Amino acid sequence: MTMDARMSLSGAAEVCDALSIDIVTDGSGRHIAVPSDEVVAAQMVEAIGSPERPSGARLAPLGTGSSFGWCRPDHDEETLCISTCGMVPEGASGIVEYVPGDGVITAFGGASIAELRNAVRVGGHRLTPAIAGTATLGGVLAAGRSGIDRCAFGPARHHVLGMRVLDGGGRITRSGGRLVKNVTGFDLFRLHVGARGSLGIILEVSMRLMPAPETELIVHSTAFATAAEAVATALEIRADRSVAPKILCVHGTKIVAGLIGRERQVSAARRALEVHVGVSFEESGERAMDELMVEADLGNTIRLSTRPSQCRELAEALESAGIDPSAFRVEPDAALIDVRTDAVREHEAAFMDSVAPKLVQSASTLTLQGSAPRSVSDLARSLSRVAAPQRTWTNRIYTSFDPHGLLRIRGQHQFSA
Amino acid sequence: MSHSPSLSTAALKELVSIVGDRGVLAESTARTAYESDGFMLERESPAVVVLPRSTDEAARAIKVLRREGLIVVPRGAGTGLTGGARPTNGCAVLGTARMREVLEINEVDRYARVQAGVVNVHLTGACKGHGLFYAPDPSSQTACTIGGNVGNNSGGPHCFKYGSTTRHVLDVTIVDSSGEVSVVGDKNADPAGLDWLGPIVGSEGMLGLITEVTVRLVPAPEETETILVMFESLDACCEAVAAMIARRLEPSAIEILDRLTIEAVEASVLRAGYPANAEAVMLVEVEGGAHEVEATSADIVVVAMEYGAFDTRRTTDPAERKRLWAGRKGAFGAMGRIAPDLYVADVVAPRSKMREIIKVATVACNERGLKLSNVFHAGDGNLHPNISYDRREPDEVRRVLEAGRIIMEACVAAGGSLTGEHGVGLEKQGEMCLVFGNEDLAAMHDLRRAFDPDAFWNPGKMIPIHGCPEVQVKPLPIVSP
Repeated sequence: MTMDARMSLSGAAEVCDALSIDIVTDGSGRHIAVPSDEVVAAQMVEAIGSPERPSGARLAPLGTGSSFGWCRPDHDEETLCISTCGMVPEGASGIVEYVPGDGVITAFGGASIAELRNAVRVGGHRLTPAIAGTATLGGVLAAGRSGIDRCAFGPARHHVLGMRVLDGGGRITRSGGRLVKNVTGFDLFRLHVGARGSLGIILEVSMRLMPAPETELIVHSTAFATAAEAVATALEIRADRSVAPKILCVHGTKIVAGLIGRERQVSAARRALEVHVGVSFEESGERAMDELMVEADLGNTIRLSTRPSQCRELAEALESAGIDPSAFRVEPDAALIDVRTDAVREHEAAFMDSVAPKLVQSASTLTLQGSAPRSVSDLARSLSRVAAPQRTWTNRIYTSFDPHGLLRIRGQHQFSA
Repeated sequence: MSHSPSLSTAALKELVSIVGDRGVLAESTARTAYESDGFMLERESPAVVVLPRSTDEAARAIKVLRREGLIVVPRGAGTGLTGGARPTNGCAVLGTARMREVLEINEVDRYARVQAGVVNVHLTGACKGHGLFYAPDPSSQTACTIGGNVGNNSGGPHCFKYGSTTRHVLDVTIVDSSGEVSVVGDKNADPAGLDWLGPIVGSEGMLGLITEVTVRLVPAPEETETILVMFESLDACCEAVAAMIARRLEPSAIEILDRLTIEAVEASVLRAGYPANAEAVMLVEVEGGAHEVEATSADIVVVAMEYGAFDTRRTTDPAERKRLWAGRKGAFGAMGRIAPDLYVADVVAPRSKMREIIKVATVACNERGLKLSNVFHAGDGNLHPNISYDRREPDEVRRVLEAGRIIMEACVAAGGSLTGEHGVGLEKQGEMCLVFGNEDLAAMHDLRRAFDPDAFWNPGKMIPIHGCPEVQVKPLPIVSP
C-alpha cells in the first residue's frame, strides 16, 4: 500500500473507530467498513467528507461484490468499501415490509435478492430481475442488471417504486413510495438505478411484484446451423401472437422460449411454437426457471445494446469474427447480446473488424461489465451518446449529491466537464 | 384590445418570424383560454402564448423568450387537473398543440416517434394497421397529448397491466432553457450514463420542454373481453377486487364506479348500459390469448359472484366494449349534470386500505354537505373521490378543499400518497410535506437546479419553496421480518 493510500485510509479508519464501526479486509483485499445501521453510516460518510477532516479516502458501496468489478473498475488502495449487508439486522431476511395483497415488497438494499425471491414465492409473487447468484437487491439495481424475465416484464428500473439512499454528503433522502402507482414528486430513485453507487448508497427499496403464473414451461429447441439463423427464427416467434413468449433467448445455436400463463394457453402456445422450431426438451415449474437463471450467467461479459431488427446481423458478425456461439447469448426482444469477455479478447482484431462497424452503423451501444481489451473500451466510449447538456446536468447533480467526490467513479467520461 | 405588456413589439415580431402568425397569441382575448388548465380554481394571465410547429422553432423561440427575461410554462392540451400548466403572471406559455405529427412507426422494433402534441388516442389509431398499440390510456386520451402524458407520467385504466407512461418512453427530445436540444434515453435497451429519462418523466414541465417522444408500442392482444359486474354494495365490490388480486388473476384493467356516477352516466349522452339498480359496478378488461382470456374471465365471474355480485355481463363485441368504456372514460364529464364544477381528487392508497379511504371521504363530505361520487382504478389503489360543487360559491369551495385535504391526509396516514396520476402541480404543493421531509425536498430542488438553475421552467410548482414545519412526516412502518 502506498503512503498516500495508508494516510487516506487511516483518516477514514479514525472516523470509523470514533463511531465504533469495524473495518475488515476480505479475500480480494478490499477494506470494508461495516456500519451497523444507516444512522451510523450517515455519520461516517459525513465525517469522512468533512472539510475539517479531509481523509482523502474514497468510498464505494458494497453488497456481496458480485457486480463490484463492473461498478467500481477504479477500485484501489484508497477506496474504503461500505458494506450494505452489515445494515441488515443479523439473522433477518432483509424484508422491511411485504403485504401480499398490495403486491409490493420493501427491503433493505443489503438484502439478498435470492432470499427475497424465495420469500415472495410463498406469497404467490415473483420479484424481478430474475438473476442467479448471491447479489443484493441494492447491488443489482445499482449495477443496472437485468434478468431472464426482462422480455416478460421490461427492465428492473421500471419496477422500482421508491428508494431511500444515503448520498455522498451524508444526507438520507427518500423518493417515490411503496405504491404501484404514484406520481408524487420527481422520480429521483431512477437516477440511482444503474448509477453504480456513484450517487449514493441504496439503503432501502420498494419493488412492484408480479403475480406467480399458473404454469411456467421452458422449451429448448433443437440446434440451428448457426446462431444467426436461430436469432432469425426467434424474431419470427416474437412476432407470432399465438406464441407470445415471456422469455426468449438464443444461447449457442438453440432457442430457449418461456411460455407462461394459464395452463390451456401455455399448451396452445407450445403447439404454436412447434410450427417454428423442433423441440429438444422442456421443463416446467420454478426449478426450470432457476436453472435457466444459472445458465444465463456468462460471467464477465460485454453487453451489446441494440434493436430487435439488428440482432440477427450482429449475431452473424460475432460468428464471422470467430466467436463461438456458446460464448454469447442473444435476447431478441430486449435486443441485448452478452458476449463473454475472454472470447472477445481472443478474437479482438476480428471483433473490431467485423462487429465494431455494425455497432456503429446500427447506432448500438456497448457496455463493459468488467475489464475488457483497450480497443473495446475505446469503442464503448465512442458509441456512448451522452450529449453536452447531459454532461452538465450530471456534473451539477454530483456536486449536490456527492459534494466531496467521495463516491465518484474515476475515469468515467460522462463525469468530466 | 391590448397585447402583451411584458414583451416588446420587436420581440413579438421576432417570434412571429419563427413560428408564423398563427403561432403567437398576444391579444388578451386570445390568451384567455390559456389562463388555466383543468384545475379551474387557479387562473393567471400569460404575457404571450407561443405555439411552435417543430423542435427547431421551439428552440429558437425559447432563446428569444430567455433573452426577454420571461419564464416559460409548457403546455400540452391543458387537460391537467392540478394547475401544472397554469401560467405564472407575465410568463410565456409554450404550447405543443401545433406539433401533431407522427414521425415514424417501426413495427419490428416496436416503437413510434411522435411530436409532443400528438393526441394520445390518435397515436394508437395510427398504430392499428401494424398490429400494435400505445398502452397508457388516461380518461382524457381523446384530448391529452403524448408530451403532456410524459410530463405527468399519466396512467389510465390499463396501466394496471401495462404500467404508467414511464414504462413506455424510450427517449425524449428536450429543449433546455438556453435553447439547446438534446435527446435523452435511447431506443436501445440500456442507455449509457445516468437514467435521466426517469426523473424527466413526471417532471410536470419543470425541467425543460419536451418536443418529441419515442414510445414503446405493445403487440395488440389476440383477444379482448370486457366484463361488467354489478354489486349491491360498494364494499362488496372492493372486497371482490382484493380477492381477484389475491388469487393472482391478471386482468388488464379493473375499474369501479359508484351509484351516483352510474346515474350521471346513464342520464347523459353516454348511456353506457350500466344498471340503474346497482350500488356499484366493476368494469374489468381481460386481454391475451383466447384460452387465457376465457379462463381468466370465467374465474373473475366466479370470484365476483362469491363476493355478492348480482349479475355479470361479458362481451367481446368491439361496439359493446366501446360503449361500456365510454361510460367510464366520460364519467367525469357526465358529472356536469349534478353541479357546474367537479373537484376530481386523485389519491393513491395501498389496495388493502381502499375501503378505509372511501369511508373517510364519505364522512368528510357528509359532514360538509358535499356530494361525493367515486370512480377508481381499483387494481392500483388509485382513487378518484369526486366532489360536485359550484366554484362561484366561496364557502363551498372552502369546504371542498378542506374535504380534499382530509382525504389526502388519510391516504398518506394509511401508507398511500398524494397523487396516482394527475401530478402535484399547484393543487397539492402544500401537501408535499405530508409525504416528504425537508431533506427529501431539498434533493428534489437539487435535481431541478441541475437542469434549470435559474428556475426558467414552470417555477413555483410541485415542490414547496419554504421548508416543512417540524414533525410533519410520519415514518414508514418497519414490519419485523
